[in-house]
Amino acid sequence: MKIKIDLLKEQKIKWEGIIDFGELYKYMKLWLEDNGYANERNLEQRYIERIKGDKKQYEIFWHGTKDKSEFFKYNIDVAILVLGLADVEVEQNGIKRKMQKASYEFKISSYIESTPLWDNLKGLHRIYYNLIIRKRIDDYLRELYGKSTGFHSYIKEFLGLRD
Amino acid sequence: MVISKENKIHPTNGIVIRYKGAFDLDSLYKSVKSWFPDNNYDYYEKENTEKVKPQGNSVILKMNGVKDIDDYVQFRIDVIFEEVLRIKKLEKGHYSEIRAIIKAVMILDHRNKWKSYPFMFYLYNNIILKKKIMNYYWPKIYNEMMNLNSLIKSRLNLIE
Repeated sequence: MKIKIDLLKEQKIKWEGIIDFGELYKYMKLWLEDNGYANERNLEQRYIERIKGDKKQYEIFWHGTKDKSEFFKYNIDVAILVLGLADVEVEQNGIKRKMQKASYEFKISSYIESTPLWDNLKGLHRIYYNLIIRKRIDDYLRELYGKSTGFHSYIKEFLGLRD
Repeated sequence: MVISKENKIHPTNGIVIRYKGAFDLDSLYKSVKSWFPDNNYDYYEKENTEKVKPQGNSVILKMNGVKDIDDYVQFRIDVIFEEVLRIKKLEKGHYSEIRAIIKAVMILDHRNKWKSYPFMFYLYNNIILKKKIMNYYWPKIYNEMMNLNSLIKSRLNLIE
């Protein structure tokens, strides 16, 4: 039987203001890559850009996954919704920079999932592994909790929100 | 009183704290956030919203903590800061309006092992385990909820 244990369930961060969205997008992606949850090919599942007048809207969905053992993998999902994005010029330390004013929303979810190898275990194999794995799942949960809340804090820090 | 799967410890609308005046939201946030791990709760932040408005930034924070007491009982405490309106910046903190809500729930059979046996589940909670629930679990979560209530009130300089 397939095992799926949810940890973070769509933890929402919402911020209305001016940021360099391109930079945040890049750093979030790099964080997931550096922590082994993604590579350039498998991360982005959806990327929609809509142009509404002189403003833009983005709907982005990322699915980050990392093999923990032959039986389990960690997953971090990120849904990004950007509404009313408009370019603005901001002067920082005497340098003019192009930044983006919008309403930004991020939803972070994380969960542990069993692999097909686990799902196909049968009989004594299954009973044996069940006894061992049950104890390990708590450690896995703690580790993924640390990682996914770390990622959540990373985004908040970039946006200048309290953490 | 019938003991069910989810038992609300808080009053119907939660414990509501309203305050208008000078306070430091960042320090209040940090105190509440650290209260959860200090009391062995796993901390989750359901929402962290900040909107820049001409009349002052508006902030919504939905924080919660979950603690497994044992294989059967789980405590969940929610703290919601609804529409904190930061009206005027002061030397330390802001002159703001705040409405905080505290909710506490005791969840029985959180691993859903009794899901297929509702009648047995009812008997177990209301006859066999009732004394322990009423004398041990209930006061424990109630005290924790009130402890958090006192912490928030003390941070807002309200009478405890």
